[in-house]
Amino acid sequence: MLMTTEAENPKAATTPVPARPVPTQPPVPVATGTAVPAISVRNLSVSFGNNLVLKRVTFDIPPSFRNCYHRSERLRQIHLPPLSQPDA
Amino acid sequence: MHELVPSARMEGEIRLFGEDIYGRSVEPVLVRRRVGMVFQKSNPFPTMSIADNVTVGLRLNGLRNKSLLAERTEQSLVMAALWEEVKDRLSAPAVSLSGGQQQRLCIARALAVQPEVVLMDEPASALDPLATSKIEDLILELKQDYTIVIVTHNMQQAARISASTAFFYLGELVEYGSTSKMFTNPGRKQTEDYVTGRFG
Repeated sequence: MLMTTEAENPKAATTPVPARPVPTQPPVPVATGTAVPAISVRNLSVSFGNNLVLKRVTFDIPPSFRNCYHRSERLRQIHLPPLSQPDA
Repeated sequence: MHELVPSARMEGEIRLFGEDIYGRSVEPVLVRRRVGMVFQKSNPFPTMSIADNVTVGLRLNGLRNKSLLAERTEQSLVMAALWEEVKDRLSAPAVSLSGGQQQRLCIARALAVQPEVVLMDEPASALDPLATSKIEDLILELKQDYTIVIVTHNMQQAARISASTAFFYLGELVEYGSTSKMFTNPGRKQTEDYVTGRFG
């Protein structure tokens, strides 16, 4: 059963209703429209000899949730030493 | 890897988080570190132990700190849902594991260098249904942290575990979109025919 405030309060139909504040939205988990794609492929063709295995393929793969929002933090945590570091 | 094949030819552009991976200033080793790969057939290094397989990428990158290596070993095996099964035999040969365990070990090895993207080429096609289920559960967990690109010929698997699906046929991209749309309301008849089993 649907219940409306108008049915319970006859004045409600004539009383101006103040605009409800727009709630603050939490971050959208996957911002596919605005985030930099994790992988972006443009006009990709790959062939092996005469065998064309990809023909001018174009598409974007959006990043995952934490890729998108915590990427900088993840990169900060990577403390791999320089490639030229000699053995200890 | 295709550059190792003499007859291979490539045109176009691939960007990883906006950076052209074929750019002149881009170091291929760093690209490789940021993109983990898991193949159809599990390929642990047969002469190495379980622990050494996990840390091989780190050691090749110069990491020698034993406590850090041990920490990364545990982290990676936990992420790959294998730690509880192998924690008491880390020095055992990797090839002593079952096929499904070996594939999860390869996933742990890929995760150990903390990539941003993981490429999986039919990672469960050589596994039994139980092992496949474990790999799929693992992918569902990992995709929170990593962007995972998986190649599969298993339509049900694609529908179960992916957010977006691209359908390729004979080298051409037929259609790409959200998995729910691709499987319930595809835009191309060829896609519909494939996902409904009319061909392929």
